[in-house]
Order: sequence, then C-alpha cells, then structure tokens
Amino acid sequence: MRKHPTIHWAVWLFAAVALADGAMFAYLRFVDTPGWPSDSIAHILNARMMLEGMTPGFSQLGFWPPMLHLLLLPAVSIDAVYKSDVAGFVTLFPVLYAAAYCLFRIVEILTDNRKYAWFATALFLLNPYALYFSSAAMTEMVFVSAFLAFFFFWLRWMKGADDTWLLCSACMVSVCFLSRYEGIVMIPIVIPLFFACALYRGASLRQSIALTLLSAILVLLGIAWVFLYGLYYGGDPLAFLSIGVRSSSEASVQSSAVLNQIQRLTVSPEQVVFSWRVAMAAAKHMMGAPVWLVGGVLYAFAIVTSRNLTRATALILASIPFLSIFALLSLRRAGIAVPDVLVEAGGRGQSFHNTRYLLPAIVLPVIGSAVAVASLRAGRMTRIARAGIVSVLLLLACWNMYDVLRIKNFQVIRRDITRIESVWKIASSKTLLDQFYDYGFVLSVRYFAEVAIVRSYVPLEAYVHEGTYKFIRQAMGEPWLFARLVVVNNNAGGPEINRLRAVSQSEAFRWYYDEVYRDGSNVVYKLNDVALRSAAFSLGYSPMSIPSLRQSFTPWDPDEIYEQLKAPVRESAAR
Amino acid sequence: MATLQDDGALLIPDAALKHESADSLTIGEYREAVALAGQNIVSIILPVHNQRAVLGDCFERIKKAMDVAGYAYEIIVVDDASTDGTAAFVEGTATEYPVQLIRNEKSRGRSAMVKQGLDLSAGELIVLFDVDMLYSPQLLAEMIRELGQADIVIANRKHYQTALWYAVLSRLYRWFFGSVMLFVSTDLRSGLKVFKRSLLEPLRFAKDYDARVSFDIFLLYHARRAGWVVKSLDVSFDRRTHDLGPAFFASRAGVGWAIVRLRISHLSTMLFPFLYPPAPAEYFSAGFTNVNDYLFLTPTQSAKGHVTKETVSFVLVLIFVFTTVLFASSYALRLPVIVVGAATISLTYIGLMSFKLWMMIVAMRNRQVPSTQEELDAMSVDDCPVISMLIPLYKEGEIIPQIFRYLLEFDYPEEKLDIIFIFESTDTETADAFLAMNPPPRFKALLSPDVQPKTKPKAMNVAFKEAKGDIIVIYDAEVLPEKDQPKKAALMLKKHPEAMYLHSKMDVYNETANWLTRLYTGEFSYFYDFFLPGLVKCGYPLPISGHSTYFRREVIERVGAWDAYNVAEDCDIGIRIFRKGFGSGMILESYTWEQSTTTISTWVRQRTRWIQGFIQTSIVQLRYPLLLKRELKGWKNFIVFLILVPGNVSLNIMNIFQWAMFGLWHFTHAPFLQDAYVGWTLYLATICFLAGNFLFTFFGMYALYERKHYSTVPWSLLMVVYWIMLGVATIRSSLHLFLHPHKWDKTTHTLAKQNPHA
Repeated sequence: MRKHPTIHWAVWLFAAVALADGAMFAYLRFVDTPGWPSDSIAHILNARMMLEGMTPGFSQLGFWPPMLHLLLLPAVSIDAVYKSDVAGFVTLFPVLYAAAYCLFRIVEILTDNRKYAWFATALFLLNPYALYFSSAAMTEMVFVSAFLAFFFFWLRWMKGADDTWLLCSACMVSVCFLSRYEGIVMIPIVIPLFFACALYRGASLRQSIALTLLSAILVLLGIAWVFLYGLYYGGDPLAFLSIGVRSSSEASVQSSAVLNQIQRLTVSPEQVVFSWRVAMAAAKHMMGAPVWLVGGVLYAFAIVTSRNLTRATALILASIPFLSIFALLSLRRAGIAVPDVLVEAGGRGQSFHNTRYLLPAIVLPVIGSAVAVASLRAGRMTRIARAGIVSVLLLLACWNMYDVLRIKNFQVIRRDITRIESVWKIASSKTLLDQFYDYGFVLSVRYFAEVAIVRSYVPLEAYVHEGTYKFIRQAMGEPWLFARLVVVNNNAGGPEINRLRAVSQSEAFRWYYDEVYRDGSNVVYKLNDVALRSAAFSLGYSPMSIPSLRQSFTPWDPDEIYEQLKAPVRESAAR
Repeated sequence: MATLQDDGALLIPDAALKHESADSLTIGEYREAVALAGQNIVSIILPVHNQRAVLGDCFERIKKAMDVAGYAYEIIVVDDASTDGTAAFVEGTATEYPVQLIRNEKSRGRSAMVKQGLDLSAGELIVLFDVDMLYSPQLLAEMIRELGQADIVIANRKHYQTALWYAVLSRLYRWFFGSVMLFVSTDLRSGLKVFKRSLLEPLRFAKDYDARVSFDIFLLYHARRAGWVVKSLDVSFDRRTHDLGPAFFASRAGVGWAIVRLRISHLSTMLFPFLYPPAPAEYFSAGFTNVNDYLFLTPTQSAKGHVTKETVSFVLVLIFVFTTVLFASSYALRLPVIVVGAATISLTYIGLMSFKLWMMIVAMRNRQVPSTQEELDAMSVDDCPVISMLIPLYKEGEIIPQIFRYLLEFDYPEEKLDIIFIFESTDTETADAFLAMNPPPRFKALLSPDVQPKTKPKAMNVAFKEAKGDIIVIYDAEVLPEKDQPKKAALMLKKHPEAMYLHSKMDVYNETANWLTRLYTGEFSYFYDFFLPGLVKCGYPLPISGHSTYFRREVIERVGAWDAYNVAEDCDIGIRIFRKGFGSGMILESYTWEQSTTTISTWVRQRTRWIQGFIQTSIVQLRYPLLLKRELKGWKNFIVFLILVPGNVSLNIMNIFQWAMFGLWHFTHAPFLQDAYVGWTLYLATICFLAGNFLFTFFGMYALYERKHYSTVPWSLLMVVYWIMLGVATIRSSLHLFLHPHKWDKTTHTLAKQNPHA
C-alpha cells in the first residue's frame, strides 16, 4: 500500500497559527471593531517617520523599545499597508508563529511528548489577548516571542546542544530588552544562570567564565544599544527610563538626569505587597481567572514534583515575564491599575490601565500546565485525570475567549482604546487637516497627531513636532514664522503640549492665526497670511525667507534662520 | 645557405636557376635545387582578384626582370575568389613560370591574402607586387639590390599622369597618414615592396598584430618602431586603369582607418601598458638555472623591480577613474563630494566586513573531517612518499636543539624524510650550532650563496634545487609541528589527488606570555578556524602560510618557486599557485604551534614586513590586471583577490581612518565631519564602525573559546588596540616599500619559556 507522506508538525502549527490569528484579525476588523490602542498607531507612525518626514532616520526611533519599530519598517514602507489597519497584523503574524513554534519545542523537550506540546500551544492560541496583540502593532507579542526563543535556545543547550545555542539564547535576551524594557530584569538573572548552567554541564571554571563572558556580551548588547541611542540622541544614556518621553524632544530628555533616575528606584514592603496584588489581578484579567488559577496551581505542582534540575530551572524561568512586571511595579517603574486593587498605583484609579503588560506571563500557566499534566505518574486513572485536566483547561480557555469577545467585548483593554476614540472620530472624518491644509508646515504634538497624521493626506515632511526637536524648539518661539497650521490639544498633558497650549494663548499668536476648527480635544489654527506679510514688511523681514510662506518642505536651519529673515528684502530678492 | 651580398646581389647558379628546365621540376624540387646551389629565392607574392587579363603580361615582365638580374624566384599567386578564370590561367602557366597558386573560395581581403602568400613563401627576400601596376622590369632588380643597405625598399610612385585634384588629394592623404600618423614619408599604397624575410619573425610576436589591418601598413608601422631602414625608389609609370568610383575611395579610406587604428592601438599600448599581457618569453619561468640571485621567475612576475610602467599607469588610471566616478556620482546624486567619498569608504568597509562574515559562516558550516588514527596506522612505508623539509635558518642557533627534537620525533619513515637546512653563508654562528649538535647524516645542510637578495625565499629557492621529495614543506625555526603531521599530509594527498597543497593549522605556544601574545593567538584562532576554511571551501585564491604548507613538488616547479625579492613570499606564491590552476588546496587537520612575538617593537617589525609583502604582491599581481582576471578564472576570484591582498592592507588603513573620524567627531564635533557624515552616510559609517569592531572582536573571542584558550578569551576585548597597531604597521610598511623594498626584517625568535620543549 502506498504510504501517504506525513506533513511536518511545523506545517500544522503554521496552519493553526494562521487560522487563529487570521480569524481574530477578521473578527476585530469586520465583526467587532474596538480599534487599536493609541500606542499601536503611534508605533506605526514612529516607524514610518524613520523613512519619511522632515528629519527621517534613526532620530525618529525615539525612546520606546525599538524592536517593534524596526520590525514594522518593511510593512510601513508600503503606503497601502501603512494607511490601512494591517501593518501590525502583517508584521506580528510571523512573530506569533515564532512564539508558538518555540513554545511547542519547549514543551516537547520538557515533556518528551508532542501531545503536550500541542496542548500548550492550543492554550496559548486560545488566549484572545495574545491574538489581539498580534494584530495591533504592540510590543507585547514581540516580547513573548523573544522570551520564548531565549527559553528554547537555552533549553536546547542544556539538553546537550553546542555552545552556539547558548549564544543565541543570550542574543534573545537582548531582543527581549529591545522589545520591552522589562527585559532589563532578565539580565541579572540570566548571566549567573548561564554561569551556573555551564558548570552544571561539566565545564571547567575557566571555560564557564569564558562562556559566561561571551554570553554576557550578547546579553548586554541590547542595553548597550539603548544607552548609546539615549546618549547620542538625548544626551542621557538612561533616557529610556523616562516613561512618558515619547520622542527625541531634547527638553524632555535632558530632564531625566542619570542621578535622578537612580534615586527614583526606591522600594518599600508596602509597595511590594501592593505590586503583587496588582500583578496577579492584571494577569488574571489577561488570561482569564480560571485559566490563570488552574494553570498557576498546576505550575506550582510541576515545580514541586520536578525531579530534574533542568526541568525545575526551566519552570522557574517561565515565571520571568510575570516577575519582571512585578519587580518593576515594586520599583514604581510600571504603571498598571486594575479595579481589583482599589489603592491607586499608576495614577489611573480603579480603571483598567496597561493590564496588557501582564500578557507575557501567559508563558507560566501554559508551560506549567503542560509539564504538570505530563509529570503525572503512569496508570489508568492517571490517563483519565490527564485527559480531564487537559479538557477542562481547554474548555476554560475557550470560555475565556467567548467571555472576552462576546460578553465583555474587550472590556479590559477597551479603556486604552477609548482613550483615543475622540481622536479616532476626528481622524475618521479624514478632513480635519486635509480641509485646511494648503502647503507649508503644520505645528502639532504627537498626542494629537498619531491617528490623524496616519489617516491624513498631508505629507509627513510637513509636520513640525517632537520628533523634529531642533525645529520644534524654534517653531514654538514664533510659530507664525514656521507653521501655517497649528493644532493644539486641550486634553492631554506633557511638556510640548503644555508649552504649545501656552503659546497659543498669547496675544501675538491670536494676531497671526485664525481659529478654524474646535472640538472637545483639539483646536486648529490657520495662518493669516495678510497679517504675517504686513508684519514682515514692517519688521524688514524678507518674506521669501519665512518658512511658513514657502511652498517647499526644505527644513530651515534653526541656527541661521533669523539671520536670513532679517536680510534686506532687496538683497534677498536679488539672490 | 648563402646570404645577400653587401651590394644586394645574389649569387645565382646557372642552369637550374634559369628555370629553363622548369618543365620537369615541381616547385619543391626547384626550391631544393636552389638550396643545393647555396642560393636564395626571391618570393614574389601577387594578390589578385579577377585580373586574368593582366597576369600573363605581369609574369612575363617578372621573368624578364629576374632573368636579366639573374635571380632565382618563385611567384605565389593568391587568388581571392576570382570568377574570370584566373586560377585556370595560373595553373596553365605553371610549366612556363615557377608559379604556385593559392585559391580562396570566398573573398578574404588583401591583408589575409598577403599573409597566405607569406606563409607559403620560402624566399629570403619577399616581394609584394600589385599586378595592375606597370612597373618597369628593371625596377624590381634594382629594388632587390637596394636591400643591401636597407631592410625594406618601396617603389615610390612619383611621376604619373593624373588629374590635379586627384594629385592634391593623394599628396594630402600620403602626408597625413604617412608622415603624421606613421612617421614615414613614403608611398603608403605602393603596389611594390621588397623586404627581408627576417623581418617577419618579430612581427609574428607583435602584441598589437591585428589581421584586419593591412599587412603593408603594419609592416611600415613596425619598421618605424623597430628602427628598420626603409628606402624609397622614385618610379614613374603608366596606370593601366584609373577607376575613381566608390570602391577606389573605399579602399583608401580602409587603409586610412587601419592606420588610425594602429596609432590608437600604439597609443593605448604606451598609455595603458597594463592592459596588454606580456609576451610569453617575458612571462614563463625560464627554469631553475639562475644562480645570480636565485630568482626563477621572469621580472614581470617578481617584485624585483616592483614599480614598473604598468604599475604606474594602472595606479594613475585607477585614480582617474575613481575621481571621475566620485565626481560623477556627486553630480548625479546631488550630494557633496565629501559625502560621496565618506559613503564610498563606508560601503567598502561594509563590503569587506560582509565578505569576512560570509567566509566565517561557510567555515563554520563546513568542518573538515580529519583523518582517523586507524587510517594513519594502516599506512605502510611504501605508502609514504619522500617529503623534503626545507628549514631556512638565520641567526637562530639557539633554537636548533628544538628543531632537532621535533624532526627526530616525527612519526614518519626516516628514509622518506629529505631534510635540508639552509644557512646564510655569512651566518657561521648558526652553522656552528648546527654542527655542534652532531646532526645525523640524513640531515643535509646548504649554504645560501652570498648574493643579494638575502631573504628567506631566496634561501628556499637554493634549497629547492637540491630537494628530492615528491612533497615539499617548509618549517620555520621556532615552530613545533604535530608529530604525525607529515603522515597526515601524505595520507591526505593520497586520498585527495585533486588537492595540490595542504594548509596546516597554526596555533601559538607562548600564548600566555603577555597581552600581545594573547591577542596574536586570538587573531590566529580566528584566521585558521573561521576564515581560511571558508576561503578553501569556496575555492578562492588566497595567501598561504609561510611554513607548514605541504606542496606537491610539481606545484613549486610549475610556478617557478618563490619570489626571492618578495618579503611576503607566502602570500605571493599562494596567488601564483591559483593562477596556474592549482586551486586553493585543502585544510590539513593538524596543528603547528609557533611562537608569537612578545614585544611591540618586534611585532611591528614583523607586521611591517608581512604587510609590505602584501603590497608587493598586489603590485606584482596587478601589473596586468586583465591577465590576472583571466588566470584567476573570472571576476569573482579577481574581486576576492582584491579583497584579500590589497583589500587587507586597505582595511588596516580604513580602521585607523574610521577611528580617527570617530574620535574627531566625538571630541571636536568638527564642522567638516558633520558635512561629510550626513543622513544615511552617518548610519553607514556608524554601522560599519561599531558593528564591525564589535563583530570581529566577538568572533575573535569565540574562536579562542572554540580552541579552548579560555583564559585568553577576555583579553580579546582589547582587539581594537591590536587593529590600531596593525594600522600603524601598515603605514610603516608603506614607507618601507620605498626605503627598503627587499630588506628581510628578520623576526627574532628565542626559546620561549612557554615552549613545551624548552
């Protein structure tokens, strides 16, 4: 009889991931449209501004973790993808597949059984938030993927593969850090771990030190990148610690002095207890309470019953994503608020806020459950118990999916989404800027700009905002010389927003600009050409040198612009 | 055979040469008869096309002229696809005249016809004769006589009846193409030329010979360049036909164009000599007989006169092309020249870096399987070929006990080891130390003659003449090869007949002496584990090691041994081996430990010599770049050569340049740097600088780790210092190239404490 060719499990896995992720994307796009978080649009815009804008390039990478922006580059370089909602999905689908692949292999290695690998992968792919954050251009899935890759490479090495696997694992620690800054917590954990594991594998002390050194270099690559970037573009290697600094605005970055950052790293017992409660509650919301609780119990069981040091260590490593956030919360370096914990922590009261930070903790119940079930002793009753536990967990995961999608309708993350809904509405009209824009520059701040800019047809070169920090600093002084349109946001906070708001209330500003639009959040001002030209004439400025009157996008030189402006009109005209 | 007399007369035998008995003689017999008589034949070549009507008259005139003068002659008619029965006519007259016929089925043109006639001719004197010209019969004899004082004699058509406009045009034509273009003031299109056969030999080897060019013009052109004496005899004659149609002018235009082409070709040869490969005599090794300086290569292949006109021309052209491309790119891209320049440097740097990374990946993915102990044990004495080990020594008496020890410990049949020590004749100290060790009789010692150059390759050339082995290997004084290395090499060469030579792996035995030796170890580990295997796997041309490389004897014989004047003879011979088609060799999984230099001064001296040798090799190999490309079998290998030899030198300089730029920018923020590194060029420079330094530091560390030099791994973090030192050595070597081009700056080796044999 002819034997049918077997399809490799990785192909099946790919099909499963494609099915799950595609279905979720279709659901989000066509059935229930909660939209994407404001951060997601900002990530897309950030990536695009590296390619296009007044000052394109690495300076636009900003102080967010850069990995997602770099991954987004191919997608956002295509106009159709950039303007539509698919940039995140296109970019993160391979990332989700990589995560699923690594998870599959990890569980397969830990349990020596591919069935449990399928079980763990199914649990993972049944999480609605895992799929949601693989469609929105957010950093969580990149972190999960990098973490699982780190885990997988380390496990392969521990199981006897050559040392290049450890070096790959070390590289992935860097990728974790470049994906989300809580990856910094991994660094002090993994370096001693690598050393200890090298000794455990039978290497001599010298060899272990050498290998740890090699790995440590790779582990620290990510942080070295971020330090260098902060140093060169912000003047402060620790600029990345300033949560809230969202672009290379010089003024904001320089306020985050090194000493200031270190002094802020305080911890107290109350904060630790509080942080634990917040983290547990957020994890519960992300994974669904039943899955989180059952999975947590099974995880503990797996550790306790583990007779193998490698397996025990691996299980402990699975808790790193959870512990990272817990550690950062304890150090007051992460802002999460959940209604379960009434005490205010992140300044957001009882509403959901940044609960997604705990999404990577999904690794813990998923791996823990699979390993625990696999470690039950053989026997007839055990088989029934195993089947029961697996079935129950899968049913709970399905229920959680239904609960999040149909009953709660993404309630947990909806706050993040609704926060930008007002802007989204404006953007959906598409005409906010398009209807007023003729040529020249638009002075804005990103808080307003993210959605509106992506949707608008005004070219990115026209925007003067925080990313073009040399220019925004000068444009804020006398905006009428530089910008034809000014968009002021009245709801949000932040150094640039506040400053622009203050400028917009000055008498001179009102002389040069006419208010052309106002809603609950934003006011749009348009330049009064007649007023500016008459003022330029009386001040002896050359109108040809005033950027706001030029039709071209050539950026002005902040250091020389006033000299050019004050050049005699005739001389300038002659030139 | 008699030669032409001074007065131009030929001694003619009587009856046989009168051709009176031609009825019974074939042309071969006729020639033989003339030769037996000790006389010469005048070969008269007649290119014809549909000129049957005039041939009879022409033959008769020739016969009369030759009979009157008393010369033996042969007529060679080259018929260019005539349709008027020319061939039949000629065949019909064969009994009457000593005539031979060459018939072309298809028209081939005059130049080709003349060449055909020349190939068939046997005379010491050649006459090119246009049958449509009515030359006086006495003229031919007179011209032959004139050959006593000249090499070529031309009938200069001076007096003939024609229209004024034609005469003016004709003069102008002759003046421009003759006097201006060819520097000869003779009748270019003269249908009657007489010259000596001896002139044909140098023409055959002329580099610029082009069959499309009219042979007459080519002859005149070379006459001028070779200093041959050209004489003109003014003649007047009546033209038989005077058709001034398009064909007439086309024919003259064709000759004019041929002259222009020749001049361009000549100019090109003068301006761009590197484009024209040398004649075989200048290129092929002349054997192993030269005892003046023991250089067995021709000067074109040696660094003996390292800066030649080819090199100067090539460098100037390179500068011109580079500058033009730079400015053109600047104009096309609308970027300042300085930006384009900075970007070019960065792109080159990234290219070199990428190549090294690629080689590393190839090397890591293709680990060679070593020979097994069982295979080695199974080798009988008969399986072991004779291996000649050449050991050049200079002021290294202290190390001789170490050398004796490893030579005596080799796991190889003693009778199959042909061990040759070479000492400089002035170095009695080392020779005495050698004798003091009571060497076994099978250890041969040679004194390298006291002639310049006093270099290691010269010593090896001296020794190679005496070597008897089928396999040749060189060992430096301070090295320590593995005991079974010769056996492994013999086995591998037997298993892989396609491998023409084997690269042993190098390691360092005094690694822990200080930071410098540790970095040296790191460099070697990276090169021999992560780079060389990649090059070998890809089959690229590569510089080889100066010792412990096992060659099949024929390789050294065919490439002409080592360049006695090149101070990095190993690099040079590696490229020459590849050019001769012997490939990239194979990796021998056997280590030779060598001694690292321990002080900065000795290290810099050693590196200066190595890099100087790389520069010399670049110069020598690139004398004829197109020939090099052809012999390296394509552009890919040619580019790899550029990367590995001149590129290696450039990389050291670029490292220094990038560090200087980085330092200047960091500390001064100089405006010109901000102008040069804008936008993407800044990213390029930063990526290649930071990523390049990081990657190669890291891979150096990893290579050390792989070789189990664990304690040295952290020291590799200082590799950047090492590269800066390399840059300094490169600059020093550039100066040395001019000051001491062939000086062998010997690296001093002592018995290191870390040496296991110490």
